[in-house]
Amino acid sequence: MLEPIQIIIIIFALFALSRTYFRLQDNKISKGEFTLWTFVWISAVIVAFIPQVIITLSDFFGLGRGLDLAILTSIILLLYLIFKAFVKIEELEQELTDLTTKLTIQLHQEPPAKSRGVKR
Amino acid sequence: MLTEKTYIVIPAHNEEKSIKTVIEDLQNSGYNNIIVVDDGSKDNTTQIAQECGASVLTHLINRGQGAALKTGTDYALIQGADIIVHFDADGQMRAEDIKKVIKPILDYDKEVSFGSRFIENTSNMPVLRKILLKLGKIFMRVFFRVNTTDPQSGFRALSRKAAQQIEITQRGMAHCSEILEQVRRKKIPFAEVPVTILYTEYSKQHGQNNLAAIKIASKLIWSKIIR
Repeated sequence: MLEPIQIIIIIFALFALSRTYFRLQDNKISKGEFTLWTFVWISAVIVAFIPQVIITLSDFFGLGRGLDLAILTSIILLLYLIFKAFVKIEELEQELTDLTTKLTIQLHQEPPAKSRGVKR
Repeated sequence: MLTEKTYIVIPAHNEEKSIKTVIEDLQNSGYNNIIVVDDGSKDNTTQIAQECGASVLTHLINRGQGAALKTGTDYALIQGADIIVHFDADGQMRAEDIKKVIKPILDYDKEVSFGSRFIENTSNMPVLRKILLKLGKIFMRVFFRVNTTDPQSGFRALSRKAAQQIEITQRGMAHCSEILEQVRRKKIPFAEVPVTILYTEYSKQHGQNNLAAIKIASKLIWSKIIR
């Protein structure tokens, strides 16, 4: 008999899995990202169905409790995602700067029709 | 003198109090190609600089001193500049020093020339700032193999060739270190020239505060990791 928390995790993971699939179809994520997320959510489903798995894995990694492994994995995943987000922000900042530089020069050389000749 | 093809690029962010004096000093020293890049100021920097007769380029949003220098340098190149001088808007630098700074490019076949506060030590620099700059020097030597007397100096001149070779990607204050590192990596011939930087109450309030040192160091390391 499944506990309510197991059912919640399974439903959430299946929902997330479907979102991942649709985002791949819309080309919003790359195949690599799709693989990563599919792996994450399928693992969640497996762990929810057979919690024994996590205990076996914990023993294998030398961690005392199953929960320790789950928390450790989550922290590593979160750190990775934060790093990815930082890199993305940096890219966006750089693009914004390039855009500003180019636009500033362009606007200076050919002022928009409305303000042409008008002292700004 | 080659003042006709020498362009002075001044990044300015909320500098309405000092920009007029800075531009007038430059004009009195014979420099008429003055490009002020207003980096998204909230005050009247643009209007005042325009009234003084400078070419004013305005960033619609604030992007940092490095970004403003890039805009100004790119624009100076389009205008046909032979020498581009990076100059501060807060009145810390002296227009009369420009002659010294561009001399190595004009007379000694150098492509880049850096103004240094530590060759003759004529600047009235606060003690804490001095210590931080010395630490910065060690940092630059260890991590970026750059060995100059004043790596954080923003007073510099670039020949047209050097300006085309150097790509400023650091938006903020880390551009000083970035330019030095590129000069080293691309083996661009450079010189260092003594200059005097005036630390007035205004410039101390308006310039970088001492904590900026940590920010600059972390930006440089971060850019090494992700680029």
